[in-house]
Amino acid sequence: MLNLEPAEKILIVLHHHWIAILGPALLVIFLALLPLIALPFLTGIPDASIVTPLYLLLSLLWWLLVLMLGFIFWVDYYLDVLIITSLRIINVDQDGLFRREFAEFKLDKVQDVSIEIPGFVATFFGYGDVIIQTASESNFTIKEVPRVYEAKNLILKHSGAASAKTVQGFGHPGE
Amino acid sequence: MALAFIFLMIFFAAYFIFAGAIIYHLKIYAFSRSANWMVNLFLVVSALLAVLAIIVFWKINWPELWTLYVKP
Repeated sequence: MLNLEPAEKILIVLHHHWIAILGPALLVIFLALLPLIALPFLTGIPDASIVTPLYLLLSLLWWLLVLMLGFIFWVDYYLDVLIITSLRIINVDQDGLFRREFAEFKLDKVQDVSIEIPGFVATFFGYGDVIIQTASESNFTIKEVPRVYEAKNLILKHSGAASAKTVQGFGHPGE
Repeated sequence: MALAFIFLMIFFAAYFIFAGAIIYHLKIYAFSRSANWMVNLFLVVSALLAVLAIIVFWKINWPELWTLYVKP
């Protein structure tokens, strides 16, 4: 879990844009509709009154499994998160159900922040990728996040303040 | 019928143990309370489907189904 320092404040918490979960959601809807597609064929068979309850039972169990699949997709989506605090940037990457990657770096290490809007759909729905270059010259990309401009401005504003504090901490050479 | 009921109960037990593991994981790492809303929705819908499945299970004419399709 996230442990904040006493003077640290959470500035923004960003999940992926909802478009990232649209594909899995459509798959879940399609899977949920499958038992209904076969239902009209069931009425034509003999002994339908005996078979129909069994079919309904199997459909209910199928919907339980589909619901679980949808929940797993949502957990995967929800636990992927970018947190910008007044001191650092934390990126949590949920990979599958129980595997997580946790990356963080101090804001004073940020050298450059750029944003990339990958295409028409991203422009229309207002999401993009945030690319952060750190002092170690490694690029750090966070994909498909909403409010990219707000995130960029926050990072730049607070990284500038954090760098100024670091420089003040060292003092001037003549002092 | 008894065998089918045992299978159904095993299915529910496995399902809700797995769901519990996911919810436990989510509760540890969730960063906001909005996760509670989704967890509650998932639990209510899955409980509703499970109850409906048990009701439908008792509506099935198992002896007739058995004689029709398994041992004619």
